[in-house]
Amino acid sequence: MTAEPAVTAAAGPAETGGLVGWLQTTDHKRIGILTLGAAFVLFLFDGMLGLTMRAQLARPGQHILSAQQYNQVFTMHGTGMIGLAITPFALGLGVYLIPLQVGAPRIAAPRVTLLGYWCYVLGAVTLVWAFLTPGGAAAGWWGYTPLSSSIYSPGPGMSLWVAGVFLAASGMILQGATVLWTILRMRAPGVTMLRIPVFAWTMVVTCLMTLASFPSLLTAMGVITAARIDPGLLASNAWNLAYENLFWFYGHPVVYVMFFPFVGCVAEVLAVFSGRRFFNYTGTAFSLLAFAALSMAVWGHHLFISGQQVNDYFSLTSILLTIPAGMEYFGLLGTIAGGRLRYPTAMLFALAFIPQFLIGGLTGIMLGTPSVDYAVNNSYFVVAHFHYTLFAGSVFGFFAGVYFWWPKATGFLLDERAGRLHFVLMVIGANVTYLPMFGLGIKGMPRWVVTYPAGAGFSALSLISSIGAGVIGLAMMAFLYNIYISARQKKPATADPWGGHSLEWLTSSPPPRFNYNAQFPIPRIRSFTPALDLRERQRERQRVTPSQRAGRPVTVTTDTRAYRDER
Amino acid sequence: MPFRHVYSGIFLLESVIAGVVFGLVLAAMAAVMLVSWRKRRRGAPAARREHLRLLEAAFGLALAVMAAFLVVVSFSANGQDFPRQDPKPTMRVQVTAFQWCWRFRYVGQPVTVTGSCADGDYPVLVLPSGRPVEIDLASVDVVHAFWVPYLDYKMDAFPGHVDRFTVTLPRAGRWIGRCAQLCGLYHYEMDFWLQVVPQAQFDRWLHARAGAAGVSGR
Amino acid sequence: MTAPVSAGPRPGQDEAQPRRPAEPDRPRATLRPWTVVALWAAMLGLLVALDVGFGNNTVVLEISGSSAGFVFLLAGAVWLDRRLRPDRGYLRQPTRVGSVVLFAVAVTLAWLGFSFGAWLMMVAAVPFIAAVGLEAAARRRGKAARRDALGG
Repeated sequence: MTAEPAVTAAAGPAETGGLVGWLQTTDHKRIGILTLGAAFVLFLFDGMLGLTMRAQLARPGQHILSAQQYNQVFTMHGTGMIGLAITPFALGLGVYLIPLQVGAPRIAAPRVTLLGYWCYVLGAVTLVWAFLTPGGAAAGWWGYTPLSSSIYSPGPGMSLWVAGVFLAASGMILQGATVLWTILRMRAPGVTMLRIPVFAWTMVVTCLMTLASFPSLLTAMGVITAARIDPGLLASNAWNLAYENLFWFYGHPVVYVMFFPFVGCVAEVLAVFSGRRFFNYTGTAFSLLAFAALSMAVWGHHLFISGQQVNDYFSLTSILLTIPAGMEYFGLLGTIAGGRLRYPTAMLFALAFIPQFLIGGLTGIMLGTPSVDYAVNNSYFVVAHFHYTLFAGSVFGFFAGVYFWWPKATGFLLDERAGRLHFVLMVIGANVTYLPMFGLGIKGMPRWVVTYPAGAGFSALSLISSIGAGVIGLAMMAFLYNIYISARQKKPATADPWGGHSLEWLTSSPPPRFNYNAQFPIPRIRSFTPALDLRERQRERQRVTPSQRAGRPVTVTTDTRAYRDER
Repeated sequence: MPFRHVYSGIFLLESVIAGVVFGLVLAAMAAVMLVSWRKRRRGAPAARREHLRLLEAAFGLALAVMAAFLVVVSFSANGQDFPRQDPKPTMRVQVTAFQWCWRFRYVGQPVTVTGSCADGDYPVLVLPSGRPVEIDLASVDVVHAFWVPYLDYKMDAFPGHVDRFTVTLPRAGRWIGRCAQLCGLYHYEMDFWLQVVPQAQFDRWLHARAGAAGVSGR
Repeated sequence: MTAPVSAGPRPGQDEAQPRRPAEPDRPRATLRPWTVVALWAAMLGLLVALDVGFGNNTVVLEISGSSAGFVFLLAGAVWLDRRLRPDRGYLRQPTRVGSVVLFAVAVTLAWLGFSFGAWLMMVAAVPFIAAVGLEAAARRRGKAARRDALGG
C-alpha cells in the first residue's frame, strides 16, 4: 500500500487567491460556495420582492405598486426564487458536498461545473435586467403563450426573460450532470452505491430529474422565442397546449429538484443529532427513485382545468406520490425514534421541516384530486400549498444544512443563540404568512392580483399574512446578523464538531484542496456512515486496552449489531 | 350541478384525513422527543436498529391502501363531475374571454351581454335555475379562465379552441365570477356576475333583450 | 487501523492527490451505477406505458416518452464510461479555465441577440472564437506537457 502511482497527473497549480482565483477556480468547493453565495443574494432580493407584494396586498385598494409593476414583481419573485435561488441552492449544495461525501478529490468535469456557474450567473443578470426594464417581463413565472408572445408582451423585457431563464436553466443542467457523474463514476474504492450517504442519494434523484426535465424548459423557451419572432404561430391551439405541457413537464420536477436535496439535509441532520444511523436506508434509497420517477409523471395536475387531457391519469400518479413520500417520512421518524436527541439550531430546523412540509404535501394530494382542483386552483390555496412545501419545507431544510455544514466549509462555527432567534422568527413568520392563505383561497381570492375589493372578505387574512411576511424579513436579518457576529468571533471548528456520520467529517474544516490527503485520509469504508464507524472502532479499541493493562482476562465487548459488512 | 356538491364532500373527506395524518405525525414527534429526554436522563444510549423489515412492509402496504382509496375517491368524483352521459343541455351560452372582460352570447337568440370590467362595469351572466346549461368557453387573445367560486368550478378559456362544460344551477342567487388565469395587466379586474333566476323570469328577460337590442347591447 | 489512501506531497504540489489503494472489502453483489439509472428509466417507461393505456393526448406522450428514452441513453452512457475508463480519471486536474468564462459570455450575448437584434449575435462570435482558440491552445500545451512528463 505504499507504491507510488505510475503516472503523476499534471496537477493544477496551487489555487490562486484573490478575486481572479475565485472566479476561475476548478475547485468544486469554491464553485459550490460561489453558487450558493450568488443564490443567497438572489434569494434575499426575491424575498424583498415578496415583502413588497405583501405590503401591497396588506390592505385593499393600495397603490404601493401599479398593476404593471406588480405583475413584473411577481414574475421576478417566482422566476427568481425558483430558477435563481432554490434550484441553485439545491445543486450548489451538491457541487460542494458530493465529492467530499463520496471520497472523490474533485468533481467530474470541473470546468463544465464552472461553466454551469457562469451560465447561471449571467442568466441571473439577464433576468434582473428583464425585471428592471420598464414594461418588462410580466407574464408570470409560467410565461404562458400567447401572453408571452410579442403581441401581448411587446418589448425587450420579455425576450430578456426568455434568455435569462434559458441561461440559468442551462447552468443548472450542467451542474446537475457533473454532480451526477461524480456520484456514479468517481466514488472512492469501497464506496458502493449503497454506501453513499442519504444526502448523496437525494442528489442522485435530483440530478436525474434535472437532466430529464430541464431540457423541456429549454424547448419551451424555444417556443416562446419562435412566437416572439412569428406570433402567427400561436393562432393554432396546439402550440399553446404544447407550451403548457413542455413548461409543466419541467415545472413539476423542478419543485422536486427543490425538495430532495433539502430532505437529504434533514435526513443527515436528524441522524447525527439523534446519535444513530439513518433508519431504513435501503428502503429510502429505492423510495427516492420511485418518488422521483412518479414526480416526472404528474405534471398534468397543473393542467386539470385545461379540459384538454385525461385528468384521471395525472390524478392517479399524483395521489400515488403518497406512497414513496410516506416511506420517506417513515425513515425520518424512524431515525429520531429511539434516538438521543440534541437540539442545536440545525436540528431545530430539521425537526420543524417534518410537520411543515407535511402540510404542503397533504394539501398537494388534495390538489391532485381534480374535483378539488377545479374549485381552488389558481387561487391563494395553491399559493399557500407551494409556499408550505418550498418555504416552510425546503428553505427550512436548507437552513438545517447551512447550520450543519457551515463549520465544515468555513472553519468557524455559527452562533447558536442567534441561530435560535433566526429559527423562532422563521417558524412564526412562515406559519403566520402562509396559513391564512389557505383561507383566502377557499374564500375565492385569485392569484396574480395587484389588489382586491374591500368588500370581498379578503382583508383580514391578507393583513395577517402580510404581518407574517414582515416577521420573515426579521428572520433573514437575524440570519445575516448571525453570519456577521460569527465571522467576527471566529470560533474555530474542528474537523467534526457535531459527531457526523459521513466522510466529509473526517477531513479538515475547511477541507484541503483535494479533499483528502495523508493527514486526513479516507478510512476503510464499510457502510454509509464511515465517520461513525471509525469512531465506534476507536471506542471499541479503547474499551479493550484498560482491561489488558490490568492483567485481567480480556472480554472484548463488541456490539454484535454494530455494522453489517454487506453492501 | 355536481361540482359544488362533489367538491364539498371530497374536500371535507380529504381535509379530515389530512388532519388526522398531521395529528399523528405531531404526536409521534412529541412522543419521540419525550422518550429521548427520558433516555438522556437515564443515560441510556441511542437505539441501534437500522431496519424493522416487517414494520416497513406493513407501513408501505398501509400507504398503498390509503393511496388506492384516495384514487378511487378521486376517479369517482371526477366521474360525477363529468358523467359519460352529460344531461342534454337545454340551452347554450358562448362565453368569450378577452383582455380584459367577458362576452356572453346566448346561442339561438340575438342576445349578447358584455362590459368593460372597469370601474365596476362587470357584465352579468343571467342563467335559468333547474335546467342544464352548456357553457362554451373560448378566448380571442390569451389564455383566461372562467371561475365562479360559488360553483366550485373553473375552466380555461383558450384561443382557437372551445372548452365545454354543462352545469345545472339548483337555486336563484347572484355570485361573483373571476378570471383565474394570468392574462395581463387587468387580470385582477376581470370579474363578472353570475345571476341565476327562476325559469319564467329568465324567459321574460331573454325575450325582452332579444326584442330590445339589435345584436348586442347592455 | 486505517489505510491511508494518498501519498505525501510532491515537490511543486501543495496538496497530494489521492491514489487508488488496493480494493478493500467489497461485497460480492453491488448495485452498479448504470443499474440505478436504467432502473429509473424503466420506471419512467412504465409510467409512460400507463399513460398510453389511459389514452392521453400525443403531446403528453411524446414529451414523457422522449424523456424516458433520454434517460435510457444516459444509463447506456454510464455503462459505457465504466467499460472505457475504469480508472475513473480522477487523477487528472484541468488547468485552463479562461475559455469557460468566454464561452459563457458568448452564449449569453447570443441569447441577448433575440432581445436586441441579430447584430448582438454576431458580436457573440468574438468571445466564442476566443474561447475555442484558448481551449485548442491549452490542449496542445497539455499534450506536450504529458509527452514530456512521460518521456522525461
